[in-house]
Amino acid sequence: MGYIFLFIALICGAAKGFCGKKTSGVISEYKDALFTNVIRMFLCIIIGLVMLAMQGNINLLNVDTPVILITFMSGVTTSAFVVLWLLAVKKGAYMMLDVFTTIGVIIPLTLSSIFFGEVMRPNQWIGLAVLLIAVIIMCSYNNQIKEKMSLSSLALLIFCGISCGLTDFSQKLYTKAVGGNIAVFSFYTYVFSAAVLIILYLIERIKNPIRGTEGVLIKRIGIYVIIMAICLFANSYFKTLAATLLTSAKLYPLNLGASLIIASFMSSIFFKEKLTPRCIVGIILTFIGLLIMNLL
Amino acid sequence: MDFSALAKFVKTLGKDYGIPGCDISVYYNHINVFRAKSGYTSKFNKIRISNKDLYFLHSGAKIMCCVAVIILAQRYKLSLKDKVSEYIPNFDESYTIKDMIKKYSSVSSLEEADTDFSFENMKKIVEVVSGTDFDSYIYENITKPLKMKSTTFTLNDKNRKRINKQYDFDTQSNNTVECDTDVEELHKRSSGCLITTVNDYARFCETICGEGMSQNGYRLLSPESVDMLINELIYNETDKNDAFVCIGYNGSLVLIDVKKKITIVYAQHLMNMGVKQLEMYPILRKTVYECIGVDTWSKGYNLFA
Repeated sequence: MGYIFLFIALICGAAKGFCGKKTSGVISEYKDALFTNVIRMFLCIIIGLVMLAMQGNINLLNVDTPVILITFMSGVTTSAFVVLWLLAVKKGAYMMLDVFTTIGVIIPLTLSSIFFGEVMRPNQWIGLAVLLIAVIIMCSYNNQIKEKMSLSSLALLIFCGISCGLTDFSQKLYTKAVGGNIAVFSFYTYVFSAAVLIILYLIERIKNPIRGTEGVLIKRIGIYVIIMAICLFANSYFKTLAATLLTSAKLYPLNLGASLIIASFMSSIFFKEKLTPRCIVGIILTFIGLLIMNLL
Repeated sequence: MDFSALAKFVKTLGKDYGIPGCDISVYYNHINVFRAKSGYTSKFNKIRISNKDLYFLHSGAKIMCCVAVIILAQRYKLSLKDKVSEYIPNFDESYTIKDMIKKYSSVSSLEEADTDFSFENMKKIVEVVSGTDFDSYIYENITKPLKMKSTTFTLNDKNRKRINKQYDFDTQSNNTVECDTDVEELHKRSSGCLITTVNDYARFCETICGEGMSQNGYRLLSPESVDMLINELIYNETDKNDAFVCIGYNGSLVLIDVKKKITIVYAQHLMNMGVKQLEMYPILRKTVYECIGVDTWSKGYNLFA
């Protein structure tokens, strides 16, 4: 059942990625990117509320301190990941993001091992190493051609990986430490995330007071933002559900590897991007890595 | 990046512009992000265009010849300030190697025969300075290190078979007609005609775009040489800085945008294009840039984590 939840999460993630690629060209500045993400988070809050209402569980929103702390961590790291992702695009470090989010998977694996006794077997570490090699190959990062990566870009990418890893770990932490309603976890995650993003957006707006672009943006890509919000919520929800049934060693590398494969094929099929030989080699290695992790 | 508009445009080139077959490769940020072929090598045989098909490149190949000379300058075997007459006897003494490169690149391939600024004289300079024949020099210094396995200036039995059927655009009837002229004759028509595949030539152009460094780590030119080549020396059909554009006699398009890290190599086997076909090129370039999204804030990448 855990694999089914993960599969649904992956499909939602792919749909979110599709909408993201379709609309990113319309964003003309950092402030607008923040604004769109704020709207996404607010929509996720509404989806969470609706879900709880439909379940007849609105009263579950009355939570205790552990839930608040875990969802606070989840929300802050989610918004940190969003902002660092945008800054990586701004700085031209986007191409290495997948490498560092792969490295970031080590965080939920290690913390799950320490706190929940989910010890990684040697084959799982080998599989993860193969996955990392696959991602490095897929990023087509040519050492001769690269611009020298600045320390700030490197730091950005490291923190991106860390925030992604901590977001994943907070899902696991919630399921293990609280074991409560997943919709509650998602709801409060997005409450805190929206709060952080709206502060950053307002700061950016004070610095860059040009008005009017937000309304135009919503008119142009509003429907995509709604779909992205639904998919973002569903992706997080089902991944957290999967976390109740699968160990971190199975869930997060599988999520990462499968996402990379789906994203590559989606880019090729829907966006007519060329599947380069490096990409194909990366996909094959990803499969091998996942097989090593899950079947041996 | 979303190349669906470009894929659609390439597919309609046959129907909308009468181009029997074409091949295009686009690089962005040193990755081959788009690759498409459309149409047939031969309308009669209905054999689809393939990666192995060879094309004639005329003006688009001049940059390779200029690079051959600049490599010698980089190695201090000649100076761009040298007089051409030092290497070609009886050449007008007022011209330097630098002038030679500028004028050679600006003269049309078909008119070259009437001037001193010809492929033949560029070839002579390379042969005199390097001490080897031109084809061997190109092979050792450019095509072999860049792994351009199908590229040569020489027509031979091996590559003759892979050259696409050539077509001519008849402005009278407004139709594309098969060219009766022998491939050998067509190749001889303009000197300096390069025979290459789109994959091969894209490797070369992408190396220039990478400031002289190839994807497999071979340093063809220094960044300063690339800057000088594109911004000062070679004739250019764009006035953008750090960019090179050339549309060749056979309808090829070569675009190298060093600043935005975009390389486009487009080839077809239709000569003598009419006004309508020429309209295609700005649309093609604009579509590529829009599909990549290089002029957007996102630079073509997904902003939504």
